[in-house]
Amino acid sequence: MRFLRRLKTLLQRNRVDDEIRREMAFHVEMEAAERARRGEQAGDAHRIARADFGAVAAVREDVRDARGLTFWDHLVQDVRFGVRLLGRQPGFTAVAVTILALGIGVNTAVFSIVNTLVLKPRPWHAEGEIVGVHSKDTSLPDSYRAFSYADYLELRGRTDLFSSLTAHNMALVGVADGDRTRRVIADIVTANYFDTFGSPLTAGRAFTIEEERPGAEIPVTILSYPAWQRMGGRTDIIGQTIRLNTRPFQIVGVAGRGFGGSLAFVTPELWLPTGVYDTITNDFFRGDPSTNLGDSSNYSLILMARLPVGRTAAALEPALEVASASMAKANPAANAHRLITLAPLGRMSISTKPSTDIAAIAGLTVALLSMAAVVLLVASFNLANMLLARSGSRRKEFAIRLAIGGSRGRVVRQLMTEGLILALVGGAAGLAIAIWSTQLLVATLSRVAPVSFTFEAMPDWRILSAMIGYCTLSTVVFGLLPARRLAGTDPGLALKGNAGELVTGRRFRLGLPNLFVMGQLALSLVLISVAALFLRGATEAAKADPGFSLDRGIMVQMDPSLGGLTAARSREVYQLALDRLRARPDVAAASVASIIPFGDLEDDVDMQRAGAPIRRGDANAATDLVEDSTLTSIGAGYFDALGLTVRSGREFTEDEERASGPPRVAIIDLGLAERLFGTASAVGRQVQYAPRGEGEPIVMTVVGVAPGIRQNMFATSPEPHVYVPFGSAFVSGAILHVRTRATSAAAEQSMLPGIRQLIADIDARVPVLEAQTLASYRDRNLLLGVVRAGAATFTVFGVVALLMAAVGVYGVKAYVVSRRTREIGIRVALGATARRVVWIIVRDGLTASVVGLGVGLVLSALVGIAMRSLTYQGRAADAAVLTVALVVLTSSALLASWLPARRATKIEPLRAIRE
Amino acid sequence: MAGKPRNEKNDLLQGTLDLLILKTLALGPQHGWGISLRIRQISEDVLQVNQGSLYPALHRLEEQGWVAAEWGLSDANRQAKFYKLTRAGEKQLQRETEAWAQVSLAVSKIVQAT
Repeated sequence: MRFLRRLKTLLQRNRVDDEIRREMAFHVEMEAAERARRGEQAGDAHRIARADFGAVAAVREDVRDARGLTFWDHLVQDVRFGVRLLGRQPGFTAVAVTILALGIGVNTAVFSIVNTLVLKPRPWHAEGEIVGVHSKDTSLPDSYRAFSYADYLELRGRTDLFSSLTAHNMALVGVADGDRTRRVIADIVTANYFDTFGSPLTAGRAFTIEEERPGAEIPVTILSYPAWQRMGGRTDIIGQTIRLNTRPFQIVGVAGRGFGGSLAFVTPELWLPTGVYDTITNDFFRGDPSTNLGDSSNYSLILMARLPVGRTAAALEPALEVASASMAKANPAANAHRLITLAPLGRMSISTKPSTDIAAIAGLTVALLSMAAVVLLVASFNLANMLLARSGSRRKEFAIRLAIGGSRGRVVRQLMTEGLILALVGGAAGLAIAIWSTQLLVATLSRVAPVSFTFEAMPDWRILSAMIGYCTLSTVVFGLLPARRLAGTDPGLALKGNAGELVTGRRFRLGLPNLFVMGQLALSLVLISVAALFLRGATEAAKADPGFSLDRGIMVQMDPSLGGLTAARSREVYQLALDRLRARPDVAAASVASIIPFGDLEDDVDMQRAGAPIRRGDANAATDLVEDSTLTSIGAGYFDALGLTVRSGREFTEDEERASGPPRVAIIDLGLAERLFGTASAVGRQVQYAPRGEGEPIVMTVVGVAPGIRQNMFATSPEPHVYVPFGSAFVSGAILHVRTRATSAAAEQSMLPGIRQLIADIDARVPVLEAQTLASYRDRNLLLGVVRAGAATFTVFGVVALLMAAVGVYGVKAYVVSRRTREIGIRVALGATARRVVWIIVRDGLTASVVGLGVGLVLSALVGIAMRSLTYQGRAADAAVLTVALVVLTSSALLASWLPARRATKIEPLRAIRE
Repeated sequence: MAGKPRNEKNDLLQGTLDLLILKTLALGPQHGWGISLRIRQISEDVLQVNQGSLYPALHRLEEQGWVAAEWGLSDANRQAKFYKLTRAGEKQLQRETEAWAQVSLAVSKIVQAT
C-alpha cells in the first residue's frame, strides 16, 4: 500500500507541490490573523508570522523530502545535467559510446547465443516434460539401440508410462528447386509428433494414422515455417505438390512458427510420415537396408515422450523396469537384456544414446562468456581511465559544491548517474550491433548449410535484462572509483589550485591512475594472446591439409537415389560414369569414394584382427580394438586419383570395385596397420569388424596399406581408416574423384561442364549435387567457412582490443603527465633543460608500463596453458603476436608520456607553476 | 539547502511529535494550524510545536498511511487541508502511547533514584 501511495505522489508531483504551497500559505495567514487578534500590527503580523514560520522554502523542502519527492528530483536533475554535459563534449561522448557499444555488444551477442542454446524455454507448450526414450543393452557398458515400430507401438500402448510417445528419424532428401536439386534434411515422424510437443500447426493438418503406418507410402508432407516463407508464405500452399526425390508429395500442413523439432539451432526443411520411410531414406541414414520399417527386426526409430504432468523421469524408473522385463519375456530373442531409460532431450544432436550435451555446452558457454567478459572489462577500464582524466578538470566544480554544503553521497550519485547514462546509450548501440552481427552470421551460414537455422536474433526479456546488467556492471567498474575519488576531494585544497599536490621525491606512485594503466595493459595483453591462440589454431585447421593436395583435381558429388533410380541402376550409373571418365584423354585417373575429407557425413566402425570378436568394454579392447575407424568404400585406383601412392601392397582392382556382396578385401592406412600389427607387414593379414556393432563379423584380407588421410578438420593427427571396395559397401550418394591432365586451374574448371554432360548422357534423371574443382570445394566448404569466420572474428577482437588499449593507455598517461605540469614548470624555471625534464617524465612512465606488461605476460602464459587443450595445436606462448602487441602498447605508453611532457615544457614556467 | 538527513533529528523527539499529532487527531479531524493550536492549548502553552517540524511530520504520517487528508473549508471559510486518523493510525497511536508510557516510566525511575 505504501508503495502505491508513493507512486501516486510521484505521478501527481505538480499537484502535490501546489497543495503544499497552499497549505503553507493557509498556515501563515492563520498565524498572522492570530497575531493580529492578539494586537500586533497587520503588516508586521504577517511579516513576523512568516519569519516565525522559518524559511518557508526550507520547510517546503523538508515536507517534500518527507513525501519522498526529493530523491526523484535529484535523479531528474542528475539526468538532465548528465545529458547536457555529454552533449557539450561530443568527441569524448562519441569515443566512450563506441567503446561501450563494442564491449556490451560483444557480451550481448554471446549471451543471446547462450540464451538460445541453454536458457530460452523450448518453442513448444507441452504440458509435461519432454524426454528422450532410449533402449539400453544392460550387458554392455555403453550400448544403445534404436526402436522397431512394433516396440514403439507396444510402448505407446502403455499409457501408464507416458502421456504421449512419438517416434522419428532424419533423412536427406532432394528437393527440386527450379532445375537444380537441393539436398535438405527432413524429419520422418509419427502422426502424434506435433501433438506430443504441443506445437500447433500454422496451417493445414498433422499426419494421420494411415499415413503413419510403415509401408503406407502416402506421399504427404508438412513444411517448416521458414521453408513455407521461402515458398511464398500463402495459405493456399495447402494442397500443392512439391517434388522430393523427383516424386510428387502433397503439402498438407505448415508447422508452427519457431518450431523446429528438438534441436536448438536447426530446423528440418520439412516433415514426412513414417509411412514413406522405406522409400525416402537413402543409404546413409537407413538403419538396415535389407529390412523395412514395418519389420520387427528393423530398429530405426528414435523415440521421444511427453511425461504426465508432475511426473519426473526418475519416478518412472520402476515402471520402466517392469515394462522392459515384460517385453524381454515376451520376445527374448529381440529384447533380452534391454532396459528402457529416459534422458533429457539433447539440444545439439539426435541419437540413440542419451545426449551428453551438458558437458560440451557448459564448456563452450563458459569459454565464450569469459572471453566476452574480458572484453567488457577492458572496455570498462578504458572508460575509467578516460573518466579519470576528465575528472581532473572537474575538480574545481566539485570542490565548490562540497564547499557550499553538498554531501559526498550526492556527488557520487550524480557521477554514477552520468556514467549510467553513458553506459545505457552505449548499451543500446551495442544491442543494435549484437542483433545485426548475429543475423549476419546466421544468414551467412544458412546459405551454405542444408538446413534452416532458427535463431531469433530479436531480443527477448532475458537478453534485454542481460544488456542492462552489463551496462550496470561496467558503470560500476568504470564509474565508482573515479566518482569516489572526486567526491573525496578536499575542497580547500582543490580551490587553492592543488597547492598541496607538490612534487614528492618518489618517482612512481601506486596511485589509482597508474593502477588502471597497469590493469589495462595486463588485461589487453591477455585478451590479445588468447585471440592469437584461437587465431593460430583456426588458421592451422583452416589450412585444411588432409594429407593430399587440394590444389588440383575435380570432385563430383551425385546421388542417383534422389532421382528415383533403383539401387541396381545406381550401380550401373556409377560404373558407366567411371568407365567413360577413365576413357577420356584429359583424365589421368578416376575413382569413387563414399565420403570426402571435411565432408559432413562419416561412418565409423571398430576394427580388430581376425579372430574372436572383441567388444568395447572387453578386457582386450584397449589394445586390440581400434575404435571409431572411419570406413570408406572406394573404387579402383582411388589413391592414385588423389595423387597418392599406397605404401605397401596394392590398390583395389576394377573387378573388386564392381563386385557386390560383403567385402573380402580391404586396404588399411598406416595408423591402423601400426596399431593392429605393429611393425610387421599388414599385407596378407586378416582384419574384421562387426557391422553396427552386432552380428557376424565381416572378415577381410588386407591387400594394401595406404598413407594417412585427415578427415576431421580439428583432429591433431589422421584418424585410422579402413577402405573397402565400392561395390561391397555401395552407397548411392558418393563422390567421384578425377585427376586430370589439365595444366592449369582454369583448364580444370573448363572441364566441368563436359563432365556434367557425361553423367547426364548416362541417365538424365541423376541429380548432380556438386561438380567442382577440389580447390573451390576447399574454399566453399561450410565448416571451413565457419572456422575462417571464427578466425576473422578473433582477429577483429584482437585488433579492437589492441586499439582500445592503446587509446586508453594514451589517455591516462597524458592525464598523469598533465598533473605534473607544475613540477615541470618549476624544474624549467630552476634551469633544467627541456630535454632532461621530458626524459625524467618518460622514464617514470616506463615503470608502470613495464610492470603492467609483465603482469600481462604472466597471466597470458597461465591462460595459454589452461587453454591448450581447447585449441588445435595450441602453443602456450605465441611469440610473434605477443611481440607485436608489446611493441604497440609500449609505444603508445611512451608516446603518451612524451607528447604531453614536451608540451608542458613549452609553456612559460610561471604559467605552468600556477596551473 | 538540500534535504536534511532525517536521522539527524532525535528519534525520541520525532516519536513524541508523532504521538502528539496522532492523539490530537484522535479527538477529531483538523488542519495543520489547528493541530498546533490545540497542542499549545491543551498543554497550556508549554508545548509549542515548531512549524518546520509539524508539517514534515504530518506529511510523513500521511505517506505511511496513518493519517488521511482531505481539502475542506475552515471556520473562516478558507480552503484548508484537513487530516484525520485512519484505522491503521489508531493502532499506531495505541503502540506509541504504550511506548511513551514505558519510556516516561523509565525516565522517572532514573530521575528519582537516590
